[in-house]
Parts: sequence; C-alpha cells; structure tokens
Amino acid sequence: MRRRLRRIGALVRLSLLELWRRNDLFALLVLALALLVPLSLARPFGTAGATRFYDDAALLLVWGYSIFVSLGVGARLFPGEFASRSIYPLLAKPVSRGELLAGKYVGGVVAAWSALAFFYALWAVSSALRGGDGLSLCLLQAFALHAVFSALVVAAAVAGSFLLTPSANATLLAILFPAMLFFGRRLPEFAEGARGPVRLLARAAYWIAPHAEFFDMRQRLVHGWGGVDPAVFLAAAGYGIAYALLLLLLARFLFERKSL
Amino acid sequence: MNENVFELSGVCRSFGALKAVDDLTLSLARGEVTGFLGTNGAGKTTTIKMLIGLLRPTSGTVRLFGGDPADAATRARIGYMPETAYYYPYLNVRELLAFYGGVCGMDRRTVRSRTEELLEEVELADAARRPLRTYSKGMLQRAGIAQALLHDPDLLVLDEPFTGLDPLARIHFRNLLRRLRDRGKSIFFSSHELGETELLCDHVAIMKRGRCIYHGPVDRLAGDGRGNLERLFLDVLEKGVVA
Amino acid sequence: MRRLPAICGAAGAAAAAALCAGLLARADAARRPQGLEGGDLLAVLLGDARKDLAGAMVREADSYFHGGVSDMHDLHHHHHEHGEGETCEECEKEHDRDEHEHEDEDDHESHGPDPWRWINAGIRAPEVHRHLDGERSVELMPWFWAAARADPHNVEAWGSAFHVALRMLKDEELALRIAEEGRHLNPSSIELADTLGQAYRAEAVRDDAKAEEAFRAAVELVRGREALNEGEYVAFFDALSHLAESARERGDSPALSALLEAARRVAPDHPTVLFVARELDALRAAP
Repeated sequence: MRRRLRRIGALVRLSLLELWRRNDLFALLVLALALLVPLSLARPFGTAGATRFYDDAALLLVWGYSIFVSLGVGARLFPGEFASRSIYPLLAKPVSRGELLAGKYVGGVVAAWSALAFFYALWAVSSALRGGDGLSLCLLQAFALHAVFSALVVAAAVAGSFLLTPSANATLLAILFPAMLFFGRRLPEFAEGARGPVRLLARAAYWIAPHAEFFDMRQRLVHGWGGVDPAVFLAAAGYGIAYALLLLLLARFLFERKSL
Repeated sequence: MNENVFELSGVCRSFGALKAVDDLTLSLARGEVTGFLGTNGAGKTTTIKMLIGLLRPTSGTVRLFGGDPADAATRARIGYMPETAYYYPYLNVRELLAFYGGVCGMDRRTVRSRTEELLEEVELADAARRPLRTYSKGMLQRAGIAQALLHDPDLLVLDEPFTGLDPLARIHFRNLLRRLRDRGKSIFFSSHELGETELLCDHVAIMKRGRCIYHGPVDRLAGDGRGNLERLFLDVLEKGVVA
Repeated sequence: MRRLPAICGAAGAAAAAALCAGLLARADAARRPQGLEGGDLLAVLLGDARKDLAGAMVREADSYFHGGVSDMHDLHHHHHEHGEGETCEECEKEHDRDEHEHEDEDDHESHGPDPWRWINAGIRAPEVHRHLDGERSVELMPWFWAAARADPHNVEAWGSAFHVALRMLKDEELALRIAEEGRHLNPSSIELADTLGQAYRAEAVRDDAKAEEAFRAAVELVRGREALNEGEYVAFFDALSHLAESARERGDSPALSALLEAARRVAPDHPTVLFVARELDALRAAP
C-alpha cells in the first residue's frame, strides 16, 4: 500500500511540476489582469459602487480558465507520454497500467485543483477587498462543486485521449463542456421544438451528456443567495464523481487494450 | 549456476497481416551481455517491448526471471532505456530520478543516495540542476541509463543505446556498460553499431524479418575464420549462413 | 527568478490596463457621448450581431434586477421579497401573472420524466426572490452602459438606465446626463425625446423650456409614422400630456387644440385624448 501511495505521489508531483512550470497559467493570469483591472476601475455612466458585474465577469473567467486548464492537463496526460515515448520507461517500471492511469489522473486533478484554488483565492480576496463576503459557506460549496467539475473534465479528457487524436479530443470537449454549461438545461425545450432524429438526439444528450451546469454556483455567489441545500450539493457532487469514475473505467479498459 | 534471466520460446507477434516476430526462441543467462542485431524492421524493438511487458505475444511464451513480464512485480528487476525518450523537459535530472524512484516505490532517502551515486557514475553531477530540455543527446542517454539503473535492476534492456552519440560519448557509454557488466548485471541491447557490439558483448543474436537467424557467442568469431562481427552479420543476412 | 518576466509582464499589463481605464474614466468625466467610438469599433467587428449583444446585456440587467434570476421557471414556490426583505405588491402581481403563465407552459411542457430537474432547480433557484432597489440598483448600470456601448441605438438600454438613475438611484443629474446622451445618439427616437423631457422636469435640474422642447420633439417625431410600438405609443402620450398641461397653464388654446388633433390621429379613444379635450373645453369656457 505504501509503495502504491509513493507511486501515485510521484505521479501527482510530476503533474503539478508540469502545470506550474509551463507558462500557461501565468499567461492566463496576465490576461485576467488585463481584463479585470479596467473592469474594476470602470465607472459606467460615471457611477461608482457596482461590484456584481465585476464578480460575475471574474467568475466567468475562472470558469473559462478552469475548463482550459483541466482540459489542457487531462488531454496531455497520456498523449504527451506517447509522443515523447516517456511512456516506455515508465511502463517498464514496476507499475501496472491501472496504477499509472490512477496516478496520472489524480496528478492531473490535483494540478487542475491547484490552479482552481489559486483563481478562487484571488477572486475571494478581490471580492472581500470590495466589500464582499470573502470566505463563506457558499464560496466553499462553489469551490467544491467546481473542483468536482474539474475532476470530471480531466476524466473526460483522459478517456477521450484513448479514443481520439489530441487535437480532436481537446476541441470536442472544449465545445461540449461550455455548451452544456450554458445550454444544458435548455435541451428539453430545444428537443420539444425539434423534430425527428434531432429531437431524439437532444433528449438523449440531456440524459447522457455531462451536466456542467450542476456545478455552476456563480449566480449564488454573485447575487448573495447563500449556499445550496446539502442534499442538492451532495447529489450534484455525487453525479460528478460517478460520471468521472465511469469515464475512468472506460479509460482503463481502453488503456489496458492499447498496443504500445 | 547459469540461470536464465529471460526466456522467449516460440514467440510470435503480428500486427494485422504483418508478422513482426516469428517463432522466436531466445534466452539470456545471468551476467551475460547480448547484442541484439538486425536491419530496420527486423523485429528487435517488438521483441524488446514483449520482453518488458509493453506488448503481449500473439503466441508463444515470454518468461522474465521465471515470471510474466506483464506482472509489475516481475518488472521490478529490469531497467529499460528506450531508443529515444525525451523524458520530461521541464524536470532536471535529480527530479527525473526522484520521479522514477517514486514510481518504483522506493523511499526518498534511498532515492536520494542512489541519485548521487548515479549522477557520479553517468557523469551528470555538474549538469544536475539544468532542465533536461537543455541536454544534448549524449547527456539524455546518460540520464536514461541513470533512470534505468536507479532501482538497481538485475537486467538492463537497452534499445539502440549508441544511436546519435558522438565518439567521445560512445567511449564513455561503452565504459559505463563495461563497469555494469563487471558488477554482474545482465545486459541485453539492440544496436546497429556492430563495432560497439563486438567490443562489449559475450553473445549476439541476429534478427531477419522477425526470425532469429543467429544466436551465439562473440568470442567464436575471432577463431572461426570470418574475421569480425561485421563479416558475420553480412554472411548471415546476405548468404543466409546460420550458425 | 524564472517567473520574473511573467510577473513583470503581468504587472506591465495591469499598469497598461489601469492607464487605459483611467483615460476612459477621464473621457467619461468630460461627458463624451457614450458609445460613439466603441459603437464604431463594435460595428466594424460585430456588424448586426452587436444588436443581439446589446439585447442580451439588457436581459442580463433584467436578471440582475430580479436578484440574478434569469429563468422565471426557477421562481416557482419561492418566497418573494423586495429590497431588503419588504414585499412589493406590484412585483407580487407581476410575478403572480408570470407564475400563472409558466404554470400553463408547464402543462404544455410535460416532456416526460426529467431526472436532473431537482438538482438544477436546487442549484439555480434562490430560496428567496429579491429585487434590487435603492442604491443597490447601481448594479444594473454596467449592463445598460455595456448595452449602450455595444449598440448606441438600443433605446431600451438608454431608457432603462435613465429610469434606474432617476427613480431608483434618485440621481437626477445622472439621469439627465444619460437622457441627453441617449437623445444625442438617437435623434429619431420618440421614447428618448420624451425621456429627455422627463429629465428636464426633475427638481434638481429643472428647465421647463428645454423639457417642453424635448416633449415637442417627441410629438413631432410621430408625424408621418404609420405605426408605433408600445414604448413609442406610451412615450408619445406622456409627452403630449406634459405639453397639454403646459399649454393649459399658459392658456394657449390653439396649442391645446393642435395637440388634441395630434392625439386623435394616433388613438382617438386614448384617455389622454379625453383629458386634452376636457382641458380644451375648460379653457374655452373660462372667461
């Protein structure tokens, strides 16, 4: 057990180092500052005191970045190893493919979470400085659900990387998750208005596709609605975890059968 | 006792219609150094991948230290260096070895002391802080051998270890492998470098179109009238003379 | 140390952004007509899509007004509060109406079982439905501003911003500034002409002559128009009733008569027509 934990620990460290030594995050941070600093100084029609639009925009950026980072990390976990052939010495070590998948997945998720925690901390500090709640139950719930979402995206990217080319995988998921985030709950209405196979597809998508919107508590944070009911919170988190586990099972099935 | 570290018997591996390895029977005795020769596409890398558990044979059996190479515990006794691996360019060699040590389940203290020993051994101590992306091909090969040796394996499997090395790096690398041989490590390496192979190996195995057409000791070469390994290689491949 | 360039870059970008924001704020302070430059740039970049963008921003402002609720389905069975928790009869009526409408839709929208509705409703629906009011209404302004920047001809954005400034923020100067800019950018808008008239009637910035000029412009703009939308219709009669009141105060029966004629042309049965007619009769009957 201890050896297994060491293996997973090593893979987690590797993913963290990879994420934080690339310049992606710092580029994102610069971009965020370039967008948010003018927003924070804006005085629409010469008025002062509006903060919700800023919180809203900043959280939207956090969501965009988290999808970008989670997809980037998840979609690179295995294709990067295959492309550089570093998968060979790794699999020649006393580590099974299942352990490697679990370790790299946990590493990817921890790396994505570290970026997410960083962005949420920045948001909470900036919100508190402008008179917001700072740390609250709602913020903790929002972070936790967002973290589950991030784990789901990484799992989808890992599973997709065994089925599709890296660019196809990243592109497909970069469309799927934002689409579900913004339009997922509208699918039944869309299905109602559609006909034939499109209607069936929309209904099937509503049942099957990963519901990113379950994890989105931006409105609650921005408009001060407070935390969600614990039962709803657990249901949403459970949905995300179960979905991620299913995707990981699929990934393991594909990885075990992959010829190297 | 001349226990075999690995045994391949009647091994075949196909990729669709292509038979990459055909009825291969090969073994390596403990403490032996065997060069694995053949033209491009002869089946050397496929054989090595089956040997270290990356590929399963279509038929036949592969035994590594008496066990199945697909079993992770069996692989704890091998060290493998691929032909070209870029490893992780954002790590330095110490971090690389710490990572592989962790993957092998080694504790931190052991990894640290082995790392220092190996960096001296492969002459990378001075470049230990530099990220791997700044390393030359020769330095990457030495980092590769260091990761392969980290957990002190009994068998080293090296895929084309001399490819792309300059003459000085070759000499360093050859000397390193000799020191390992002298310490009793079994070494199995594929190569196109016949001169290096002749200088290092006890045995050679020559592959042609997936089949092993020669497997025997190198020291027979000097006295059998053929002159050198290059001549043997040509005879075997072109005239089909099989020992 | 290896992160130094990135940190310097971030600091530089932030400083540049702050400088830009400062310059923009200064330009705002100089009462630059809002939306002209941005409008031109966006027109090039987005074409007609900027109209949709502006519409989306106005809808976002509406969602902000409802405390962040953008989907009225979510309001079902939730307690409804106004401002800091007081109930608002008008809003209650409005949402009762909304709810009845949506109940009908629900009957219509029985698409079969929805496994996710409960989670979605739990995440998306507030336990209490609140409205922004008072000083907190300033939260609406960025959306109206952005809508007016995206499409300077979005009359609803200008009109709503004016309404929030005047009625909710009680900032009459701000309301006048918005009305002036809106009218400047939309000289053919009946609603914004009426809005400007209303702005000049506010106590702190009262200027009856300018108000009348604006109301007159609103009434004049109706001439030659075949049909009016609901907003224009309301604005026309609002401007007309202000002009009628002013004419009655001056005892100007020809003006009142002309207004009555104009009102009859648009809607002969409108209460304002009856009101103006009564005023005219009273004026004529007076010694």
